Amino acid sequence: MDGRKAPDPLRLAAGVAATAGGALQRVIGFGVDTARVLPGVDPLLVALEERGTQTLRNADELADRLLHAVLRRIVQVALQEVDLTAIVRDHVDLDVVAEGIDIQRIIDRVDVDAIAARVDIPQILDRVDIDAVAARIDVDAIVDRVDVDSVIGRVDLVVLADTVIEGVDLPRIIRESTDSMSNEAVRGVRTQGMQADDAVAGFVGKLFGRAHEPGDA
Amino acid sequence: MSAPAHRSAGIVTRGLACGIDLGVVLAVMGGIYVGALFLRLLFSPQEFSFPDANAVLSATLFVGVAVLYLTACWSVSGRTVGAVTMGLRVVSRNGELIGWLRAFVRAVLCVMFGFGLLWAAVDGRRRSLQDILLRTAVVYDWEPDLHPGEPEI
Repeated sequence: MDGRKAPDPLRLAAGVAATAGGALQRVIGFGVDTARVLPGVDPLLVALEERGTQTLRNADELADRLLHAVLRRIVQVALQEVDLTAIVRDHVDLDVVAEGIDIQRIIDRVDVDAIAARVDIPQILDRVDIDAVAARIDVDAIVDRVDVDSVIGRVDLVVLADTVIEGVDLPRIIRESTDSMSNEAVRGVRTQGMQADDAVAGFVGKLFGRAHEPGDA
Repeated sequence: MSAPAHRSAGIVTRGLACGIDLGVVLAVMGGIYVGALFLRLLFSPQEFSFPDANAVLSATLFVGVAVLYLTACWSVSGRTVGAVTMGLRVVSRNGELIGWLRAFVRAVLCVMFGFGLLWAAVDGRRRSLQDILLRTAVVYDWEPDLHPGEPEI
């Protein structure tokens, strides 16, 4: 021994394997290159390569599926065995997490209008029993709490009455109603007077034996 | 109901119109009387007393007011208050308004000889004595304005 450290058997073995693998790769590469020169070998090599690619892909998929199934099973078993809530409660400082949440930003990102647009108000109203609600309202109690006198005291009744009277064209109403009344009355009197005239004239005409009605002449 | 044709009015409507006009004249007289009372009270309040009714004065006042009233109404529109109420109009034979003079004479005759109206009841053409004398007629006319036309007398 010349003072050098004894070689690590593991690293030595790895080195031997790598060297052997590199030599084997080179030998196979040389073999393939040489065989490719021979006629009829190249198509065979291409077919073999495709087959190899296909096999590797299938092996990959199989490994994926196997891994997924195993992982799923493991997580399932782990969830059954572990109480996540207890772990989070015991080991996670929720206050710190909550402090890190920007509530305002979340609110800003929520489109309340869109949510409101999706709410079916008529359907909600259909489900509300207004009668039942109304039956539970004590109107008398509400009325008792309203101070009508103070409300009236705050209303300027004179101004209100003036406004109402200004809005009503009283002279026109009186004029129209009395006009129609007097018209009807006057027409009635005149018509009856004419009929009485004719009656008297007819009576006098008979009395004097006149053949024709007065006024026809 | 439409207005009737301008035919001669009979005794009933004309009598009622006369009654209404009589009321109007009496109301005017009452107004004059009350006005005179207030005047006397205004100028001599100390020795005020209700005046005794003077028959001659009252009759004269009545005739004066009535003649004035009838003359004015007949010559201006042919209609007194009573005539307006009953839908009558005093016109000449050709349907025109009568003039001031004829209205005045007719008013005097009607006031002094009111019984002349009774002849309208028996006359074949419904004329009163005043109508016959002055060649006037009283027709049905419900329109406010005069529409000249030959009355069917």
